[in-house]
Amino acid sequence: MSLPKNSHHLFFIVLTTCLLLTPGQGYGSTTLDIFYSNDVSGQTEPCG
Amino acid sequence: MGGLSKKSSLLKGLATSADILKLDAGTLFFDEKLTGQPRRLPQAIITASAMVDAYNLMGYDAIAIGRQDLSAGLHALQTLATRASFPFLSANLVDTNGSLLFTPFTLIERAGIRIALIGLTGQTNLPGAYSDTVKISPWQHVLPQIVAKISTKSDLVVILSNLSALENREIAEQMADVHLIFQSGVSKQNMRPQLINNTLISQAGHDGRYQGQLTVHWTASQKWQQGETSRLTLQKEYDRLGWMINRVRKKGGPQVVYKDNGANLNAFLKKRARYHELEAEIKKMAQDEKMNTPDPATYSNHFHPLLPSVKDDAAIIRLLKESRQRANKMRRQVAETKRLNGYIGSSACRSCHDPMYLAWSQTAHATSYKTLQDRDQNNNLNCVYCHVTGLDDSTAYLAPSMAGNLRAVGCEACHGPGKEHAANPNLAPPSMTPHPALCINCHTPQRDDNFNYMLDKAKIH
Repeated sequence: MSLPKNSHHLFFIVLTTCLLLTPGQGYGSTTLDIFYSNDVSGQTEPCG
Repeated sequence: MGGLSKKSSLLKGLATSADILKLDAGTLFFDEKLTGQPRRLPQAIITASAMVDAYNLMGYDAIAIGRQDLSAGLHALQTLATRASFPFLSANLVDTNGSLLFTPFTLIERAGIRIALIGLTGQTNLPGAYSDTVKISPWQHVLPQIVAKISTKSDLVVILSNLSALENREIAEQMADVHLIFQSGVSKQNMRPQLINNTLISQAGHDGRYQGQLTVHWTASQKWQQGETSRLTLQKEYDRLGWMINRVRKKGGPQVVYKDNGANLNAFLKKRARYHELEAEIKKMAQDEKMNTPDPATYSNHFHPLLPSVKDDAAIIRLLKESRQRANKMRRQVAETKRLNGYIGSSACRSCHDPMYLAWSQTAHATSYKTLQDRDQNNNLNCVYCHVTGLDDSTAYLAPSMAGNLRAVGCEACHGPGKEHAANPNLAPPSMTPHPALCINCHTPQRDDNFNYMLDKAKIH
């Protein structure tokens, strides 16, 4: 069976739509990186 | 604090976009040992000031105030706060009239998300000297009002909490509008994020040896993907079994690998059945998660160790060095003079115990003071008493005035003061073998996690 002549265009449109819809409805275009630490008193600096 | 230069360099490497937040859950500056030890105060404040400068350089967004941070007094902490280019947060630290002493919360926008950061200080006993002037309100008295006030102005509510793990759990159970809690605490272990209702609670180990990174994809649903934690636990088991099954398959399959051992073959078949069960279970859980919350928020979490191989940030190193020099100079200026009774120094021991002295002189104990001098730490009250003879935690302030022949971990550090023994060798015998507890005073796991009493004792003589 042969594919219709412009099938690759159709495939491209479907793929693009999928890619656009896949991310959730986020607030921005990227994710947020939160760096966190729990330094109980930095007074414990190395001595020597 | 020594990890700050590595922390800075690690953060620079990890922070690849502008959409980042840098937070600390508190208990950053002081510890409770400071209370009742006024001699330690000037050094501690110089060190804390350098930490603020370092956090300024690293571009921190906010920190919470832990109750221990009051150990140097309210005024010292407020002075540090004015030095910082980021807020010190506490929504429940108040004066005796109930007025707030620090910024309760701050609003920041990142990645298009309006983020509210709230600080909470631990409720447990305040350092004694300040308990009459500073009060800590229970979270129940302040948090609901703040969350109600900011709910229309924020999309993501984050608490930097110095409260106990139990209290943080209560917040998660009672307040669905709190989305993230970063807790400080005494746990040495990193804690994988735990999802309770709609609140994710995370904690990095307490001694700052790890940097936590939570990558969040926050969505308009403002709901975390439920069940993800338990699904990930199953996924781990599934991956482990899959690896084992694959290994057996590569060796020719179970009938070949276990041909002489029926019990092992049965055990393998059970594991393979479990593997297939898990596969179906994980698939179903993932489907359910999608059905329950359309468009849920997701996260991933990593703890990055501050290994020795992480390079140091030169700017932070420079800053810390200046701070050490400043502290060293200050300590020399306030040095007190007092003779240490009963100590005579290792060179006096040599006249009778030459082989022992020579063996000792080749060890790190003999140069322990010099290692401090090389780093401008030779008058650091937190360091020096472990690098000399005859001082302890409570008498470290005498270091600048002590005799030169005691500036090493000498014979008397392990065997006790030698003056009487030198005068009457038979009547006043020294302690022959140091008790392990004596060594562990200084070779703590934090300072020397490879210490082995039996092996290391033999290195001396």
